[in-house]
Amino acid sequence: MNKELLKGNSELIILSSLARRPMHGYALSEWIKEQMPESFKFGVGMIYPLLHRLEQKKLIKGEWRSVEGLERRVYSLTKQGKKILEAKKVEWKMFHSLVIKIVNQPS
Amino acid sequence: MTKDVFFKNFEHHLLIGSPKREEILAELKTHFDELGMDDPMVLGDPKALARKYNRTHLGLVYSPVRLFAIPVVVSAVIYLINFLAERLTMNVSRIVEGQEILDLTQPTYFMGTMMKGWLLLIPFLVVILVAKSLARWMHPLSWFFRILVWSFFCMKGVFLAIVLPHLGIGYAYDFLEIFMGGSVMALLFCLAFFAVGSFTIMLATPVWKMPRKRFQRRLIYELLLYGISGAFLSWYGRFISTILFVPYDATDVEVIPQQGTFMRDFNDFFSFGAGQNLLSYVMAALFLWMIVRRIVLYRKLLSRCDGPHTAGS
Repeated sequence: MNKELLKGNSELIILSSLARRPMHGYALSEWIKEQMPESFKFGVGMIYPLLHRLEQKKLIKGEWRSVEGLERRVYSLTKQGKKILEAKKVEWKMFHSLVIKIVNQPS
Repeated sequence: MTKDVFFKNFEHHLLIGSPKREEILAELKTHFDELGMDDPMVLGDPKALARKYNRTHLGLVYSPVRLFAIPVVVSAVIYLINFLAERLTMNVSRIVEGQEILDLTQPTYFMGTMMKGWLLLIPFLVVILVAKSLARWMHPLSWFFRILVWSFFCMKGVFLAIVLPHLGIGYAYDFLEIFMGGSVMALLFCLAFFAVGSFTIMLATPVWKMPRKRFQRRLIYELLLYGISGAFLSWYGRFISTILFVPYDATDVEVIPQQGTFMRDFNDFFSFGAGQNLLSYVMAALFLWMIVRRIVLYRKLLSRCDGPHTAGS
């Protein structure tokens, strides 16, 4: 699978995942792993820097919380993050339908 | 690669200082605690991961190479322009005892300018070398660098002053002085004191819950650094405007663009009355906006200071 394809949409994937519920990095990576085929590798090297970047953009916020007795940095969407997610969803749907339309053109 | 080796390598390449550093390490540790094996495929490349973090948190100066490259490239550009300037002469008009005369710019002046430019870079490079020798940058120091590099690029006037004569439109000393002259800097200093005072009051008043000690320390670092870098920036600006751009014959003459040119009108507009006032207001408004943004950010941070940052403390 093309790496760039995943890279280009990684923010949307993370924001959508966190929109379900706040999660810490490990839980997030496990959840994404469950949702995606093996060929899509969403490893530590991608998730954590991306989480920090999104936090810098104030789209998500990280807080140290106790999860099952252990301290974990749990991330959740901010108001701004929710707004951006909605915009990204619309953009993605438009793009997706456009690609489908072109790809399905009879040759 | 075992977890220990991964962490050792990761720590070595991670240039971000405390307290962010501790937070990153603590967070990664919690992740690896969940993983029950030392599979290199799972752990990945520690250097690449550290570089990603560095890029995210240190921005423009995320690697020592970049940090060195920026002043070197800027200096090279200045050198090139000056090199070309040596082979070109141009007409400039200047005022001597109230009378405007036409003169030729001496190539030696440009060599002198270049040397002064290099001298100005020396403290900048020394600071970088000292920081490098610390083996690992402290977080506040990295912020200091960012401000320093940013301020360096803000000196667009340096380029203006060197490039404009080549376009035949005279010297930009007046243009620079508007940005760095006494009245504006004095105003900025007042505002800086106002900002520091506001932060101090914010910390001292019980409107917000008092943050934890480490967080307080971080705020104090930032305040100090803003004060120091602000002072340094103004000193740096004044230094450039008064030393780098003194007229070449060392007399109190003012070199201005020739009459009837667009740049002369432009210069006149900003040198007197309305234009200068307008710029002062714009500068003051920008600075105020920055301060307000900072205060809003600290309010938010302080209001959240009832429990975060437990890890790594």
